[in-house]
Amino acid sequence: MSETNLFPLWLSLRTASISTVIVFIVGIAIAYIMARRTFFGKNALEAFFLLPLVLPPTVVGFGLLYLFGKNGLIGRALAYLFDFQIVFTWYGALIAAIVVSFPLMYQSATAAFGQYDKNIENAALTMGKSRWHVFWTISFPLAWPGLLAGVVLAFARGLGEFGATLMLAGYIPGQTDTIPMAIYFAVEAGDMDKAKYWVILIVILGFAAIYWLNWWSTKRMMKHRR
Amino acid sequence: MKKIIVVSLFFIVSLSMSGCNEEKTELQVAAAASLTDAMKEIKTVYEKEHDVDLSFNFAGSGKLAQQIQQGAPVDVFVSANEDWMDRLEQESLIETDTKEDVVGNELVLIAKKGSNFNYSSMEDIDKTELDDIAIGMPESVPAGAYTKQTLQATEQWDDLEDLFIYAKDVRQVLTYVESGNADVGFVYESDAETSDQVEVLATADSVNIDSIVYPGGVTASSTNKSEAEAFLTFLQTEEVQDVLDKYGFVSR
Amino acid sequence: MLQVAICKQLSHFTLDVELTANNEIIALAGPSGSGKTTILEAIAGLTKLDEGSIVVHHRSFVAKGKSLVPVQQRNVGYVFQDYALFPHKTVWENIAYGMKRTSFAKQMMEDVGIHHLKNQYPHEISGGEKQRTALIRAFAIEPDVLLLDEPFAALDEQTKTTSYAQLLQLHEKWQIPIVLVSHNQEEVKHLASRIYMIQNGKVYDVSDNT
Repeated sequence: MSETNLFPLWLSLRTASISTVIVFIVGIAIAYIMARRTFFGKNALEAFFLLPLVLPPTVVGFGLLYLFGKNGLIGRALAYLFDFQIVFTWYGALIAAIVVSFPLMYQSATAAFGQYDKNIENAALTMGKSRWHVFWTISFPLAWPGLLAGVVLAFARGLGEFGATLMLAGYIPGQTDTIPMAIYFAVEAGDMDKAKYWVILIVILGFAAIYWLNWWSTKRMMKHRR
Repeated sequence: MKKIIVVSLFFIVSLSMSGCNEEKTELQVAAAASLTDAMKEIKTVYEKEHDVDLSFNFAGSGKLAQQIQQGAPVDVFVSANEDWMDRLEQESLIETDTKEDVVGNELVLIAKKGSNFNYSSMEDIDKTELDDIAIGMPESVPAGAYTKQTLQATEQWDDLEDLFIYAKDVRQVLTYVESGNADVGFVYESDAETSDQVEVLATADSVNIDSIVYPGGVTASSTNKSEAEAFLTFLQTEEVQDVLDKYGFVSR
Repeated sequence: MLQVAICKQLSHFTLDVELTANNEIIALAGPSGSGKTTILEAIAGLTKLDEGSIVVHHRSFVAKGKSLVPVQQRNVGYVFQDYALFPHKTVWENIAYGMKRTSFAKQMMEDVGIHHLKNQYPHEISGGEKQRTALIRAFAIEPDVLLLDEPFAALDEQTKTTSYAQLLQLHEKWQIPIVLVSHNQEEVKHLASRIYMIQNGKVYDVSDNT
């Protein structure tokens, strides 16, 4: 490559990292509540959360475009309240990454919070500790290995997100081009050298992220429990 | 995915046919996605008059060309783009003497219906009124390449460049304009015809761009060359050209 | 003093029970699924009730089916059926989690002989040691009521005998109502001063019949 434009790398890392952090917090909060409450329509709500997993990304993108677009419900509200635009900006890439990776984090977190004896939490509650304290000292550490698996999946999914991102963020070089977009347009334009360069980079990136998190989680797990 | 469906359909069809005595000739036609609706109508007409089954594979011209390069069983290729046809011809994958221009198209400027833009030509585009302009990626989408050509000819390209949102295909350009996220967009006239939510503001001046043609040809690997050629000839008839005209194409 | 009069609709029957305990050990017996654990959970504040009241030492936990005191403020010690020890915490961390006084907790650990295990994790100790850890963990909060859900069921005979003695000893020192859920007749007779039998959602005082 003659001109080494590293923007897509920087943007991909930024969107995947930020979306992972957001999805981690929101996914855990919702999964924790859902695992401990029963209410009317819970199953329907759960199915809705997992919808982005089964829908083709372009369909998700289409839905997001109509929701966050200039004439969309949320898009108009944001424009009116904060003069803020999501569509055709890197925030569009962020929203897309959040939406498609949320189900993976949610699934992992639900499984993680469901796998240990609920009486362990109850025992802590009878000892006079607040739910917040119990969550951080008991629930979170016990669910940690499963949560970490969710983080790995969410990050990888966010990094590789293409369909919905392209729809919502559009392709604007230097502003919204993530690595998958750079690869797609390079392939379409027949620029195979450029495509190969980015493919190798994203493979290294994805592999390194998963490898590191796996290594770290096994190390942590060995320390704690079997 | 589309390929899998087409292949499996082909399989099902051939299975059901194996029980019959008279074997109908089946022609595999790979046609540019923009021709989808028109070709469906043409298929009905053609199959009524001829003892031939037509199977279509609609996709972007580049994708179809790549499939042919990889040996997909195709008899007739109708491309929306001359480059891909030329490339296949150079690789001797298309019978040169069968190559023919099937139909033409025009590049148009569109906006959402009811918008207030009064641009009767490309030169009227007023940057100060616009936030976003949706165009096909010039390097990969033929309509995008023509957009670049026409705007460069009128020396507007550099000026408007920072408003461009690049789309991966014309369908995406339409979606952006239909949903009001892009103020205007550039598509083929036949694409604009498929949407009742957009209106054509202006048509690109033919002196500014190469004429937009859809070349067709019989593949070198075709096992039904005479039937394939007959179909290509049929596409030139007035009857077919009228159908294409109806769908917004420019008849030859 | 513990007074319980509660009503709760369960999936197959209605639990409608009344029982009282002075500073004594009472036993709840009855077939599995009869609602014994539900009664303990109601006292601890871990399950909602339809109707009824729960009073501990003149403090109303529940009145007219409504919870007045959340689980955290009831000061009820609870030994769960599978002990529910914190698997990621050591024996000492388990006990220290809710304890009131370090010296008292340490003394009790000495008394039941688990002090030397303080740095072990639950998966590293035996069933009897787990049971004692759970018992001391519950006692360490210096509770007003102690709830024991089949705490001896998983132990061998030898260990049981020791554990019975330890429980009686602790109770003698720490005069509070203790509710023991158990299947074991011998155990119940040996430990409890009053025995309640639960059947079809109703409770019967069977102390004198045995």
